[in-house]
Amino acid sequence: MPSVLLTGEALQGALAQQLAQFLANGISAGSVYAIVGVGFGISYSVCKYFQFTQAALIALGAYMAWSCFHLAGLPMIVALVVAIGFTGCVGAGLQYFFYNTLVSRHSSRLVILLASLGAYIVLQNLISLLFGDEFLTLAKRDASVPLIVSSARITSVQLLIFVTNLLVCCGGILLLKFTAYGRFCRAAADNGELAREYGVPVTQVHLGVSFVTSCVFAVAGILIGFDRGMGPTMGFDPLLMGVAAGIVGGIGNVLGTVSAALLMGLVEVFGVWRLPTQWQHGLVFAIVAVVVFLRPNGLFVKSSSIREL
Amino acid sequence: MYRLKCHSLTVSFGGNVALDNCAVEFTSGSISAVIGPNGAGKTTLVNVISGYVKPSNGECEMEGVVLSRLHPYQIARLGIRRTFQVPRLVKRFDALENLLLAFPDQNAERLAWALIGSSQQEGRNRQKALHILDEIGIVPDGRLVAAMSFGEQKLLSVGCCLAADPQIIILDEPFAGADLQVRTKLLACLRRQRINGKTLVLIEHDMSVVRDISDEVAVLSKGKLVCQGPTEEVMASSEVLNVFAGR
Amino acid sequence: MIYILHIAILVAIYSILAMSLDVLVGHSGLLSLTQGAFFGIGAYASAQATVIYHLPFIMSLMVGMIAAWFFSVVLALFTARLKGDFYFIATFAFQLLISYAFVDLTRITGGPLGIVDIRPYAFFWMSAVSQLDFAVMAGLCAVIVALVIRRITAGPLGRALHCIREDDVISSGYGKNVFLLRLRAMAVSAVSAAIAGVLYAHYVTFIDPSSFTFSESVLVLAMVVIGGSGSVWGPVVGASTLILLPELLRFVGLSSSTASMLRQIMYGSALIGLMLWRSQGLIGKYDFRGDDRV
Repeated sequence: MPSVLLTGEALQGALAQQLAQFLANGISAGSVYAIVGVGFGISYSVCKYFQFTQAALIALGAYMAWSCFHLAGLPMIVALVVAIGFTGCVGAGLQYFFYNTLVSRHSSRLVILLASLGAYIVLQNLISLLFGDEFLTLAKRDASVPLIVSSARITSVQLLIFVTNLLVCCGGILLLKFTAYGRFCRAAADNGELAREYGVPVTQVHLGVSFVTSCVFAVAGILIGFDRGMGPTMGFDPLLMGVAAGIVGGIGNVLGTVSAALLMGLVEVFGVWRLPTQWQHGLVFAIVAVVVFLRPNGLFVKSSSIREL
Repeated sequence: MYRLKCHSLTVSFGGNVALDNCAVEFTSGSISAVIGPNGAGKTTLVNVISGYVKPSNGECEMEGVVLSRLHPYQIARLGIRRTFQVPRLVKRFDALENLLLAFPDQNAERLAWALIGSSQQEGRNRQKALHILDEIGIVPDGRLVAAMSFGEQKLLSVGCCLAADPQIIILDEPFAGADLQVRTKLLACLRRQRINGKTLVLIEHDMSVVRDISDEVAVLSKGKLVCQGPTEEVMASSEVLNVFAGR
Repeated sequence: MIYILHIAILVAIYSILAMSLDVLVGHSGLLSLTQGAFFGIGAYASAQATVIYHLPFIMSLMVGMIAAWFFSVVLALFTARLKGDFYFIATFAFQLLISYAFVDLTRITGGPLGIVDIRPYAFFWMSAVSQLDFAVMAGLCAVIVALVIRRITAGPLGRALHCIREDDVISSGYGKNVFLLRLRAMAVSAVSAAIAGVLYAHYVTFIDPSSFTFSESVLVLAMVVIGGSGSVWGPVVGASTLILLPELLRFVGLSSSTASMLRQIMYGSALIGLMLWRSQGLIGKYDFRGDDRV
């Protein structure tokens, strides 16, 4: 921070501008976590086991878009659509061939978790082998056009992220609450066996959910690719943040997850802005840790009075 | 002389009131049955006493100690043991292994002991476990719990309660699904515990068992205590008939 | 000969790491990704003690162990109410947090450049330490850790841990303090991992954050899963397998980064294969399959 003597008015103006900037950056960062968090939340509440491969899907979306755009020379829009669709199919395929096999052998959640970890390692290293470990960017040049919104400089990418977040969030809520498919999802999430007996096509629902959430993860990867760039391990941190947002906000609770994610984004930007470099990464983790410790069921869920049963 | 006293217990889950200002007393050296229609709050009562559910109002008290503020493991250490409607046992261990889990051994579970302590208690626990298996009539032949019948599993979970020589034993439907053999063994076992001065509480639906073995009966309905007293009186009273007829 | 001793020392160090994780994963049912972090905490703490304060080796060892014990208590407090998947994610977050700390806290850890010239002072009665001396030391540590862990897990504490692994509700019902038991398991695991870290730091003589990342934790987890859990030999078999096999890759003449990627793919595939077909690992006593069906 330059230490220049400013007049009272100028000082106020500078502060307001910094605040607006801080808000913009925070919401943008948080929106990415929100998208991942919503995808994770829906997926976990339906299948009830943790899928590490989702981190690979985030990277896959970005790398597929990059390949289509930079290698195959397709127009950007087409590249994005192809990438999202491809990742959706890969995700659904993983669900059908990999996870369903494990479930059909009556594997415990631990076993599935470990297997998904193995699968993530394989996928991530395949990406490393094919594309190398270097840092890539999705856009050809710095395509982001800076806009000034109430004295904060926002890049068009950040605006895109925010808008996408809104779309995903609203889409998710609409789908779950108002469509027949959404009702099937909620039924399957609540009690799979019972839903099956009521005629809910549970396996198809699982596949559909996998496809949609994989597309969502691809979108997140693409947005990160635009905003910050990509590397083979790029899916890692965002997945962790998305899961944290889900835990804090309530898994499957779209609004709660999004709120938690936005909060986390703001906290992270605050860390970059105000704290010495040493503590930046730690701050978000520390706050999530405190929240989880105090309210393990999430901030937006009424704490139950049942202890362990 | 009461051992365990609960008063003004109120518990609700979501919109449902499971216990509504419930009060009940249990005395030592007796077997009390808790009966009532489904949804009357019997299992919730047990959950509150054993500490797994915290009441929003009221408290349970045992010999001056208020139980409602304690963690389940602390309540267990005070000498209260319970079983579950569906027996919670380790299915891939055998009967003896399951029993050995149930013995309290706070000192030996410390790290320091693990490094320098000696293991006489282990041997004693083993002897006691074999004795309990003998008492409840399960042969320690190494069969996994998963291979046991439901009735036998219930019997074993009662045995696990006895491992710690508790003062208060609460059994949640121990006779449900039990065949004649299991039933006989269990009845004998419970009578023996009563002679030893223990306080036994049975949640039961089987009225012949209730009449056979219990000294006192407490009737719960819709979360409230309807009446509590000696078995003959309660079983003959018109209030009880009303409760079960749904009036 | 130098090469063989080198491999032997690495096997000893990683056996200790794998055994430390098995206390959590195999005996307590706490799947955890923290070993890389505690490995590093032991390494960095003892490196500080040796390089800056010139403490004798034994004291540096103690410093490493105490530092790890402290952090394990903090972690246990924060994860007290978490179970299963969420506990796992919390350990994942802890590992990441510590990795970042190793890079960010430059004044303590030397940042990305790490700490160099970690030569053990006053190594018992010796003034100079040869590789053979160190190999004996490492082997001895491995044996001691194995004996201690075996004694703990075969006794009442082990039985209590098995109880909370199988059903922590019933454990409370049997009067066991689940939190304290978890704390003890985590402390034992962390301190053992730190011992491995101290050995590593003083053997390789320089450390940087890249040796103590999530990948390291995954490697140790793979060792436990592949070797098998529940006895002291399983982790040793797993550690030996995962150290010796990649050495064979050396002779195939790949670039080191490609080789490391292939190695990772091997670990990943091994994990998948085992989970599909042999979920108790090569010689494990405890099948990860368990009762907790999906």
